[in-house]
Amino acid sequence: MLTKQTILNRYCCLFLLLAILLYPQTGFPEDNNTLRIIVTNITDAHNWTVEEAFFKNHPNANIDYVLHSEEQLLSQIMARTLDGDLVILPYLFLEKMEDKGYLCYLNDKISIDDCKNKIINYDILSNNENLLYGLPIRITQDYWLWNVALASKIGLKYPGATEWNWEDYISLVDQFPVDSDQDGTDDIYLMYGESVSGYSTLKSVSLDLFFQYLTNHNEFDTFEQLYIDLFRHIIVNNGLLDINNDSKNDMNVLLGRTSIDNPIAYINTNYQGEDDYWLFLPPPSLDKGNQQYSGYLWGCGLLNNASSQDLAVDFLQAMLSKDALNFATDQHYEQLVSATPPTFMYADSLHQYEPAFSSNGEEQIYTVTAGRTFDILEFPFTTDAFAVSQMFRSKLQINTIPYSRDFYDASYAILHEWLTGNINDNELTERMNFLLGLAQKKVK
Amino acid sequence: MNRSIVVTRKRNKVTYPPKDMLLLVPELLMWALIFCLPSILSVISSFMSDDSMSHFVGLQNYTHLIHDSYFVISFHNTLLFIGIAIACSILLSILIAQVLCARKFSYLMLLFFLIPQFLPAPSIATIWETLCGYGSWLSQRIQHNNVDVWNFTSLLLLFLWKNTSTAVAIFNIGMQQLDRNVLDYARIDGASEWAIFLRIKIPQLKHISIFALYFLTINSIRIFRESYVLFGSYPPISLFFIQHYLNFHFVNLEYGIISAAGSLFSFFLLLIFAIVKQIYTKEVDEI
Repeated sequence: MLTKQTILNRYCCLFLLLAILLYPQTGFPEDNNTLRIIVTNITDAHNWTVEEAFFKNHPNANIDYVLHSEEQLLSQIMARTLDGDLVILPYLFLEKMEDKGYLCYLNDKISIDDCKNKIINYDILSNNENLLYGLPIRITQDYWLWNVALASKIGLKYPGATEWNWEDYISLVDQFPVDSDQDGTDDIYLMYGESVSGYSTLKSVSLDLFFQYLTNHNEFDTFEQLYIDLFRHIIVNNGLLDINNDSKNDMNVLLGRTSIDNPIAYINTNYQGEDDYWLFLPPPSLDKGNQQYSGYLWGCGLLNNASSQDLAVDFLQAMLSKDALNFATDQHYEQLVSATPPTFMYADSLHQYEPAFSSNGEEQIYTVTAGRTFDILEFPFTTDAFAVSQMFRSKLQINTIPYSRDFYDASYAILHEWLTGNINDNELTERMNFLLGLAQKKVK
Repeated sequence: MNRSIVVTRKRNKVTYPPKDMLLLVPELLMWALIFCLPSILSVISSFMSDDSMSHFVGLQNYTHLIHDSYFVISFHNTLLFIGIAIACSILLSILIAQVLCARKFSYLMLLFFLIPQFLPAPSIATIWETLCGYGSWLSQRIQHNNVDVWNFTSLLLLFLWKNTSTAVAIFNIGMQQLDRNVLDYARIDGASEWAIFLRIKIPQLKHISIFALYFLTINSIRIFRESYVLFGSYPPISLFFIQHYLNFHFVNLEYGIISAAGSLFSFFLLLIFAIVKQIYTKEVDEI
């Protein structure tokens, strides 16, 4: 026999259960003035120029950046629970999302002529049928730096004045190391070798040629036919300094390698004669007639289930507006995608407008509203410097290798085996083809 | 003796009132909701396309798998690893359990052997990388002959080091429960310890070995975690497992292929288990 107390307890349990089940369906209706942008990196939420241009037409709107890890994003796509209007993601992601039909095409929403005339690399984010599925928002590339003072000390000419390839690089590397003070000890090397702990044979080699090829091609056979001797020549040369060799840490190197953001800061500034003055140098290419430089691109795409599609389209249009393209952001030169140089630059000396995400339920959200006050400075670089930098950045070869750090580690392991003689050239080719196939295989 | 137990069990069939079966309803519902439904949905999605407008594509995903060399390699490697790892582990653990059986402090030694089970994968991987990784003293001396064999062997050793202890514990418990009288009679009749082990203990451990088999199979599939920490997303060819394949298709948003590969692999494992169980049941009935 059930007592009243037991029945009451059961009703309470049932009520609690229903309340828990109904919880996700309850809530306030979504604010129509809020634009939700999905990002996977805090830097992707740092878009002052576009935001300010967008707020000119929508002063009462909010922009909510929603931060997901890549795994969260993939899981949400799989579960079809991705809730946003726009996504700012690396090219690799955007391309796959377009391929699977998660993104809207923009051809009827923004002017393609505007894209052609106003921004660089827009065509990378269009498919084989010339359908545009995103706009570039950030570009980074690997590039080299040339030590001007050191070069003049040993009488070497800047090689990047004309196009140069890896064979030109070999002729340069053959001149090193140099004993500049004639004391019987070499003191100038061409550049540092790769620092790869665990692979003892790979401590004084430059692998740029190898990886430049791998990012461009889906097979390794051609590399073996065309470049393997060149590559072998580079790795057995003594002109590169072993970065892990402490006894040589007081040596000088002529070339530095970096991939910070935009090389504009190293282009065409006046040489004052300092010892550590570095000048931008494009890395050698595989083909002088078709120079491409590997790097990464982040783009902004419109989700096909966007609830605030009008706002999202306005945000994309703001990316092409004069208000956005005429401004740069201090210290964020990787965001320069305009074809013409900006006139002004936003600066935030108090660091009060840096993206700061906070937990909102299960999400990490950073909200941006109109009314910010930036310091407005003049764009500090010359038109010529801007043109040279954008020319280099427009020759972008996007690295489309997923898990690229793991890919390079696996390649180092294979090269190590090859250099130590555990595997021969054919096995090297077979293993590298396996890796490349895994990384870049087009499934359909 | 076994025969009488089995027969007695069969004859003493217990029947319950039908209304008592209602007590199983919550359990069955939870099982259906948490286990059956996702499995069914996964099988259904293996017949669907993987784009945003998912639609029925028949056997297309399965056809793709059969023609995909990466799937074939991963499937082969995973089954090979599971087979070798389980065989080595069961053999080793029975021998160790026999050595430990009836020894003083065997319980403490078992606890000591179980320590690797409680260590997190990253710390195990770090130790293993130092011992067997590229540039390690051991690898420099051994792997010159065949890199692939060395990579496979090093991961196999890691699996044995981590999981054999638990299998030893399982077999040890099994040996503790053997009928002492039978063993004593055999000793009085002059049977050697080796003969007792082969002719009496191993046949009687068949019940518990099927449990050890399930346990080790599950753990051998989990070796992907250590493999991933050691070699990342791009392992050597010999260690490219089914999980690596699934992971790459997850990144490529190929959900139909993931479901098809998962379903195919699960079906294959279930088939093997069913065959093993059938053989085992037949042997028990024949005793």
